[in-house]
Amino acid sequence: MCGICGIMIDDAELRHPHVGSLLQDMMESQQIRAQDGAGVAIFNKTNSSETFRIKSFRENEGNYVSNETSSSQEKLDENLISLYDNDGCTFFSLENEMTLIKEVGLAKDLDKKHSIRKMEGSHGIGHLRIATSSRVTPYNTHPFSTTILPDIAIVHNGEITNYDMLRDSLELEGYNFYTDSDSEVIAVFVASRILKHGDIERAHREFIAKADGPFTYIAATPDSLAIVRDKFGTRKGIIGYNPGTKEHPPFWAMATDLSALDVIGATTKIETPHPGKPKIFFRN
Amino acid sequence: MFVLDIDEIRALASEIASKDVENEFYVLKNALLEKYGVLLPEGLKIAALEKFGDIASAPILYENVTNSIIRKKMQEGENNITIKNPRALYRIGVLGFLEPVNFNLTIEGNVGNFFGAFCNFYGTWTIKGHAENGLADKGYCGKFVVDGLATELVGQNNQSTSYSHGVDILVRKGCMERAMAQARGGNLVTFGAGFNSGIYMSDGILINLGNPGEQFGSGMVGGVIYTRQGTTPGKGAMIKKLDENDYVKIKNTLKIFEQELLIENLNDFSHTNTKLVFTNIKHDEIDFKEFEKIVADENTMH
Repeated sequence: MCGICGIMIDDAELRHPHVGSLLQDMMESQQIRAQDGAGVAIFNKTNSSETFRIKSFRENEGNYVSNETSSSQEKLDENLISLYDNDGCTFFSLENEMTLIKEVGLAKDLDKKHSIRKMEGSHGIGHLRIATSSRVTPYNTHPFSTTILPDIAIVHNGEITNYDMLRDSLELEGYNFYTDSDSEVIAVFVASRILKHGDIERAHREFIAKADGPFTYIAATPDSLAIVRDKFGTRKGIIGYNPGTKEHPPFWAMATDLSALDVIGATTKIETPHPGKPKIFFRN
Repeated sequence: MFVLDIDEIRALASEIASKDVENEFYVLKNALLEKYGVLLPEGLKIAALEKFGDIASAPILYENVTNSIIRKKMQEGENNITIKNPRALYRIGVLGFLEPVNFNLTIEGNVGNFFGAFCNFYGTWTIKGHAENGLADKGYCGKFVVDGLATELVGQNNQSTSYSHGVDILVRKGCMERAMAQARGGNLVTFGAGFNSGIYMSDGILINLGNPGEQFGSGMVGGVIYTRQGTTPGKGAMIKKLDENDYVKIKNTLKIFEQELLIENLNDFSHTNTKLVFTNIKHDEIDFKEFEKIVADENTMH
């Protein structure tokens, strides 16, 4: 029973001061669903530069410390291979304009440590984890990113029951996995299909066709935010809209629980995404 | 009429919130006892601290206090209660009365998961907003009206027993997946229902006045679903044409919500007079000639 959420500001500005705060409110309002871990990925195009950030967790006697390495485009493959070969480190994010932060514990503690409420951007996603199929560690916490493409993040509620089969097939294609979480397979699959087809909607549709089990996930790329439910709609997902005020711009929001939309006033145009049909919002 | 604004409880808790979480619980307990006459159970302190790290931000506190206040007011003889600012709080209206109680409850806002679970009441509970998963889950008796939409599992395990006929539910803006899942009785009238509605039904009536649905009635062994032509039945269910008796069933079910739906000509409704005019919704006129029923496929039952 994880809780997921996403938000996209509905105007052409790239750096809104409200995104972190709105996501934090949405996460705290869904805290009742899960308490094992919390994380966000926030997109701010004004952060983009020629260098990439590779983030990983290093384990030290049961404690995990977050590491960040800068890399140029030319050295990216070399740095990622070196990280993969380093036994003590677990990759968790490849970033340019995205900032991905995740920790074990409650959403309010994530904010205390990383000032999520002060993060700016155009869109973002958040997750509250209750551990079901893998250990309570920072690297098993969502969002999941990939080394295939930078700036892709997914948050997931549910189970991918044919995870082993999908993972095996992606590994045969040459893609690396860094955790034992079934949610990572969504990120790797979607990123691999975006790379292959250059079409986000097609990537999500292929995942729906291939994946078994009950799931709803939200996937973010630099220009899109998608909510995707399994073909039978066995996990919830709700979308709402806030038309904006003098204090903040209009925005779309999506979440597991209605409480997350309620707390940020995204209660107009409430709808539920059709099972098996990705609902995608593109940055203006 | 009694009005409870949950934001007042939130404000009280936030005023008391301190770094001393142990003490915070007892200060809040005394304040709630003084203001509302309800007693916080000690177990709540442990649960709140374990799950949420403090007392004031724990949603289970607000669930507990809200339900305790409703229960207390009920016992004092109040039969019209309004709740303001629920903010999709889980499990409001889970009251635990063994015998049916008689009161109306109005919720001004959205309700969270399992609103009215295990309910056993006479009267009407109205939600002026949306409702989340498991509305009236395992309900025994009562009438619900949802002005907005309801997410998954509306009327799940709707109970019909030797002393109750189940819960009657109207959802004006439609339900998501698995409405009336495993229902053993009761009635649901909705303007749209998602995949697998009526899954494993064994009794009760689901009337879908919205668009045709998909995979309705998978594994059903009893009960009936009335829905527009074009709905696909799930495994173990089959489509049949309406007969005279079905029109009587539809009429009796809609009669429960006649006042809410403002149906003009319900008394004249029959297999020969199949159109109804709903005057307070956008679906002005509905012709039940366009409807069919989904029932258990006896050929697949053992």
